[in-house]
Amino acid sequence: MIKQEIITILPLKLREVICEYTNSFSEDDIEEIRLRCNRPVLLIGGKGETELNTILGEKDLREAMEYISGYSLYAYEEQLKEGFITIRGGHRIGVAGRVVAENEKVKTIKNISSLNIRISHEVLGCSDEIIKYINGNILIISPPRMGKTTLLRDILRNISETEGQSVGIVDERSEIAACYMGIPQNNLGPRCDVLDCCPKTIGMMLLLRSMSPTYIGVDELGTKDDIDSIKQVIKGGAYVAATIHGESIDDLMKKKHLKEIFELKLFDTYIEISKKGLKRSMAIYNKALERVEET
Amino acid sequence: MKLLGIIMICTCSSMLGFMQGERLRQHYDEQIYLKKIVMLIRGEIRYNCGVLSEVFENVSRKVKEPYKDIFSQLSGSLSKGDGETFNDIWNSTVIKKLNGTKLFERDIEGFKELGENMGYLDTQMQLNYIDLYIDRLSGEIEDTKDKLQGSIKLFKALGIMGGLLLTILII
Repeated sequence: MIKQEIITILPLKLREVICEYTNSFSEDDIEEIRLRCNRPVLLIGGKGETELNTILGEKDLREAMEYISGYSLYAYEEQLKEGFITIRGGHRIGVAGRVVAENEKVKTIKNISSLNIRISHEVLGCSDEIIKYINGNILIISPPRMGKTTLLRDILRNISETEGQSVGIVDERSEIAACYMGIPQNNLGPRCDVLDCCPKTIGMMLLLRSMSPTYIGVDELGTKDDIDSIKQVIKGGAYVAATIHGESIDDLMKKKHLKEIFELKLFDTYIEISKKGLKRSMAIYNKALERVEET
Repeated sequence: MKLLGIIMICTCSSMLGFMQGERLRQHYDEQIYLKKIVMLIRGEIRYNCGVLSEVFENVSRKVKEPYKDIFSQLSGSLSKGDGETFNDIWNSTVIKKLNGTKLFERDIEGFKELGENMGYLDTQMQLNYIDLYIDRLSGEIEDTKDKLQGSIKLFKALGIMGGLLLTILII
């Protein structure tokens, strides 16, 4: 059965169909729901791709946007410029349509024609097996939809359950903690402080100064500013646990602005997530980029 | 006996006049309170940037009954995701229940229009629209205030005079 918080953002026309169809499914079977204007609805998950008979129109997508934004599109103005909206529960909704740009910057997206609902899954204990190989600054590397945020969340929970540790999370897109009105909805352990919806670079400094964390967790590093902030955090005496988009360590090394990560040996543990067939696998590397473990 | 009757008629009609005057005063107070509520909504949107269910939940904590109950219910209905439009929810929770307040029909109509333009605009447009409503409401409050003293006096006088007239007619 699909999660109730996902059902409530779907257009009325689709709710019953999807409930009926996913009745025999477990919550984790569906990873994405793709809604496209005048095209069949697609369900994507561990069992592959399923096409539903329901065709949605422009009006249905507009209706879905009303529910997704909680009738408050204005509140997601900034997120919409990035092309996605994160809703309660940490689910991310990708948006495509007609882009209104000004001075080469996205002002908004209108006439929405596609929605990609990426369902967030909290997998408690998914890092239990590898936690003993992890130390110091941690970087999780994987392509999209491999579960790097899920793994980061569980690593941070494991750290937060250790006496004497204090974890600070800068949750720019509300995907790690899935805060609702500032309160984390996901299990992050007892020693965790969350800055929700805060830009990474600002948030890391803010946490470092105000909450004295032993670990700071951030999702999706990417820009040079992110790397500079990481350097400052490490200089400031805290450890960092972060994720980054990439196929592998070799892939990241090819990117000019990310090369620095390896040249300066910023991280002590690297975790590569990849997919072999339908199965995910993890490879753990140490600071010297030697493989320590593979699961 | 006659004297008692005269006193009774005059007292009742005067009371009616006073009550009508008091109703106008209460309407004026209610309009000012409504303006305060809209300013709270504006502040929540401007500074907290929350979704409307959060906005109305926060507002409900800061206002008195019946508004407390009205906005709490509105927030609950918006969070449910039952598939209703914002307009339907606004009309069935807020507008329907405002009829039980001291507001006049035209005030409620104005508030209904505010609901028709909530939610789907960008923040600046949303705030501009609320500002426009506040300006309009302020104008109406000024109008009510201007007429208030005169109207109260008029109703009181009408009450007393009406009572006397009725007495004369009966005698």
